[in-house]
Order: sequence, then structure tokens, then C-alpha cells
Amino acid sequence: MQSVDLGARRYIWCRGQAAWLMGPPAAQWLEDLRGALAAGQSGLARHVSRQLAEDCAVMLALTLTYGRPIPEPNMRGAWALERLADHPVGKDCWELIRGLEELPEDDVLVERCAMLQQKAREVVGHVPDALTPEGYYPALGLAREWIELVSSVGESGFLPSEWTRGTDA
Amino acid sequence: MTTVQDKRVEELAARVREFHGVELSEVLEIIDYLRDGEDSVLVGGSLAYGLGNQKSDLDIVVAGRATKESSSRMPLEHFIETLRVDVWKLREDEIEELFQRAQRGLESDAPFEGAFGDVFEQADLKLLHRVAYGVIIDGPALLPAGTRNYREVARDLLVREYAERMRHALYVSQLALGAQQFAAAAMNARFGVEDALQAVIASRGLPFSDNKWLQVRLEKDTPDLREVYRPFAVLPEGGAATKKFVEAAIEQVEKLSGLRLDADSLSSDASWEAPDLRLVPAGDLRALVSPEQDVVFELDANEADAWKALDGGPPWPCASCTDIQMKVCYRLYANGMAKLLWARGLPLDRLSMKGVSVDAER
Repeated sequence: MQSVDLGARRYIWCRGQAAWLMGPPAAQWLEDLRGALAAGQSGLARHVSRQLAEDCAVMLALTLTYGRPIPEPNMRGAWALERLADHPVGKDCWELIRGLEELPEDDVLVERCAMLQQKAREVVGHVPDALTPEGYYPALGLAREWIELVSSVGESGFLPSEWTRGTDA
Repeated sequence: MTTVQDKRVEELAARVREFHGVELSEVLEIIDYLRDGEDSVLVGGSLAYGLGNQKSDLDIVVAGRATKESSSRMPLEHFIETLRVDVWKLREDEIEELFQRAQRGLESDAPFEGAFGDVFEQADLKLLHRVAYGVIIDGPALLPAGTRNYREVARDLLVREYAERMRHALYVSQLALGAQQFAAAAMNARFGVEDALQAVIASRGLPFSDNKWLQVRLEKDTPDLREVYRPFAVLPEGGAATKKFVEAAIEQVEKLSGLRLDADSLSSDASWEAPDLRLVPAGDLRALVSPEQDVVFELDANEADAWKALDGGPPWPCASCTDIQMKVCYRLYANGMAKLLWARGLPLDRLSMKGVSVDAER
């Protein structure tokens, strides 16, 4: 057994935010990147690699430094990078968030982004992609378990408000 | 004779066939169970707007006079081969109410502040544009009953939404620069330019596609704006380069929007809010505590005095804050513990980018 030397609320909140707010989009960005490169859409590839790096940085900041709360979207990247300043992956994230002067070969860029995503997954855990046929039901099942877990420590859920509008009453 | 509508359906069908090997007839068949009577089927999203690729999904609105029940805010997902089909079913009165709410928002001086969807979901913004600009693949056109032209409302709403985001980002950029947070300064300067370009693109009557398509759209649909973006695509490193970058972003966006966007000009409308925090001194420890968020900050003596001296409120108007109060509030904001609010929105008559429609039939 491994004890967690952190308050239960903060630990579960940070893990839940990392897994659910950031995990599914990061998985989707990698698919978007492959689609962009296959279609020769370099502008999309630039944007997607930047977003993927930002989401990975936020996931890692949440699960390595347990920062709470998460600032609003325009501050998240900087917030995460500041927290990852001494972590080797912080530099990888910054280079992609900053933007690439020249796009590398397609497979090099995909590999770079996939590696970043893999590093985040190793820490955060895997969340099935609800936007694919094979991931849809597993994601729903896992979400249900996570809602129970965050509720058990008195925290509110992590799903976007627009998913749950009208269900709070 | 081929109409604009026929041409749009043909182009959409070709893209769906090319990227997914799926026919629109198959799409209609799989969502048929959702239609009441002669409900219309509108397709929005990147594939309908001449963007997209093999990973793009199809966003569909089913609506009409006969529609009985609406679906939830979450789309109903369907899969045909590699194509994901997301469907929202809406009653006509709900669509009308959404456009009327948008119209009221446009007539008001109050800032939007996420009233039409947060930055990630942007649900209402996307829905308005799906209805206004979507390709009708079956059924009659949806016509507004209580508001002006759907496209005008959707266009104006997007222009204002992005203009307000642009103002916010550029103010934050300048505050971050003052706090020597160079990554935050540069990132927000770039956001400001991107938001401004989105507002300009919307003002030209192009349907909404979120930020991930911005660079593709600059290449494809608005090449005159491509060079505007180029200097801001890659962020600088270091303090001096970031200062120049932020200044250049402000100058460029002022040209695009016709607004004054220096920090002094913006501060008169901005204020801070941090309702969860209270200062609890205990000997030498000056703890700024949020029990709700399970968060505590330690302040030094000067910061604690500055915090105590914040008048009444919140909100605290930025124009009335001292330098040290601004620094404390900015640091709280950067850590998610304070909000930056705006007293006024940006009605279109304050913007020079408003209402230029170059291709209304697109």
C-alpha cells in the first residue's frame, strides 16, 4: 500500500481534473495532428501541437505539483510551465507551446507529440477517448467511477458545466 | 440551374465521401429516427465550411416546426465507418429563443463573459452558426420569426465575443509583462492577435470555426490577413524580446479594431474580484486563505497592508488600485484565485471591424 502525503480533497481533485479536463482533449489533439498532416494542413498542425503541449503541461503540473485551482484558459499554459520549470518535460512543452519556426518531418512531429502525451499518461493514467466508437462506453463507465470518487471527498464534479447544465437542481 | 444551396450540398457530399467514404444518404438514414415530420437537417462544422480533413466529424442540427422534443446539450453520437456524426435536436422555439437572447446581448452594454458558451465548449456560439450558416441537406430552410436575419445576428455575436476576448487577453498580457511573467505576457499577446483576427474574419461574414482552424482559414479564405499573423505565430524568449512582442501585438490589434488597448486606457473598465479570500494574520504569518478552494498564500508585510487597504468590495476597480495592489491581484489571478471583470462590453459601434460582409452567400 502506498500512502498519499497530501490532503485527500486536493489529491483527488487534481488527479480528476488532469484525467478528465485535460486527458480527452490531449488524446483528440494527437488524432487531429495526424489528420492535419495527412491533409497537408500545416497551420492546423502547428495549432494542434501547441494545444497538445499545453494540455500535457497542465496535466503534469496538476499531478506532479498538485496546484489548485486551475486559472482561466488564457493563463493555464503559463501557470503550468512555471510549475514545471525544473522538470525536464517543461522544456519540451514550452518548445511546442511557443510555436515551431519550421515544421519538422511529419513523423518526427507526431513522435514528439506522442511522446509528450505518453509521458502525461504515465503519470495521469489512461482515459478512453469518448469520441471514438471503442472508447465511448468505457469512458462513460470510468466517468461514473470518478464522479463517485470526487463526491466521496466532498468535491464537485469535473465535467464541463455545459455537459451537466440542468442536472444540478 | 444549380443554386448556391445545391452547390454547397455537393461540395459537402464530396468532402464526406473523400475523407470517410460515406454518402450523405447514409447519414440521413442513421439519424432518421430523430426527425419529426419534415424536420430540417443542417450540417455545420469544419466539413460544411470548406475546412476539415479525414479526422473531422459532422455536426448536425435537426430542427423544424414539427419538432416535438429536444435532445440534451450533449450531442447524440453516431458512427458510420470512420465518420462521427454528432446530432443536436432542437425545437424551433428554442432556436428562436437563442437568437433572441443573442440579439438582446448585442443590444446591451454588459460584457458577454461566457454567456454564449465557455472558451472550450463555445456551445451557443457554435449552435448559432450551425443554424445560420449550416448546409441544409434535407428539409426546408429555417427562417427567423422574431429576430432579424440569423446570419447577421450570428456574425455580430461572434465579432463582439472575440473582440471582448481580445481586449481581455491584451490587458492581461500587459499586466503579466509588468509582473515579469514573460511566458504569460507573450502567450496572451498572441491570444489577443488571434482573437482580433477571428473577429475580423467573422465581420466578413464567414461562419465560425474555432481557433484550431484559424491558420488554415488565413491561408485559404483571408490571405490578406495572413501576413498580419505571421510575426506572432512564434513566441519570443526573454524579457526584452517579449516587451517588443507585446507592444507590436497591441499596435497591430489597435489597427484591426480601432480601439485604444494600452493598459491605462483599459484599466478604467477593469476590476478584480476575489470573493473567496480573506486575510488571517497569525503572528508573523500573514495568510490569505480560501477554505473553499483549500488554498493559502503567504503575504509579506507590504502585500498584507495593500490587501487590507483595498476599499470595500470586491470588485476593486483597477484604476483605483496601487501598484502593489495590482501586483497582488494579478498574482492571484495568475493562480486562479481572482477574476478580472469588465464593467462594459464592446458593442459593435465601438469597433471598426464591424459588419463588413464580403460573401453573405457562402
